[in-house]
Amino acid sequence: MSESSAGPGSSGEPGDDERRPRAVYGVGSDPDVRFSLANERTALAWVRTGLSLVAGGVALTTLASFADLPWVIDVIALVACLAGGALALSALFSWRRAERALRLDLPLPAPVALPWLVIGVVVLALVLAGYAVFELAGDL
Amino acid sequence: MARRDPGLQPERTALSWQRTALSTALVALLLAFACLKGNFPIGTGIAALVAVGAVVVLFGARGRAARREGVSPWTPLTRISLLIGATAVLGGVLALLILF
Repeated sequence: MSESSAGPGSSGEPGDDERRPRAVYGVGSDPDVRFSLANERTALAWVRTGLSLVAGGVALTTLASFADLPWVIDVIALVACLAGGALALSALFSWRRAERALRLDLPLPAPVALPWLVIGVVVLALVLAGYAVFELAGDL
Repeated sequence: MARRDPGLQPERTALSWQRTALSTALVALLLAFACLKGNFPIGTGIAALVAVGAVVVLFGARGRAARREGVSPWTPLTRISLLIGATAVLGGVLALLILF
């Protein structure tokens, strides 16, 4: 399989290509630099999405430590933090898959994390809305 | 190799790195203070290390880009932003010290 890395598309001198990871840079040939840069920016945007989830979780725990909020808030904060970390990891792996696809001139993989993120945000919103309705009904 | 500039792609990527590093540093600082308040010093230490690492990444990327372009990374804008940032951090620390 590794013979394909020295295929006809390889550019430059193969000896002094030190870039890591080799699983990405060892295959195919360098694509248009704009595509690689755009792929990098996409991964960074995913990382920022994960970071904002972590920030939301940290903010919720801080809030819960100030006021005596119920355990639902703590659970939501925990889930948000873990989901943010998972999203950052998935950014790394989808960057690798996309860069490999670019180098091998294959179709780009589908964004795997997107449906999970949407489902998570919808579930989170529904839980919080249900909690708010519950509180309202308790007050009335 | 030097003048490939279709749509400022390298600059946009560098800015994306800056945004990511800055928000990482901010979230880490937030977490550090949350841990400080919750009496969890190990968490504070780890979060502070992450914040320092993010700032190092930020300035490392700036320095590399500046060396590539052959200009000083310490433009007047950078100096002013650093001063404002340092003032903001000092103010925040002071406020937290007074608060707790």
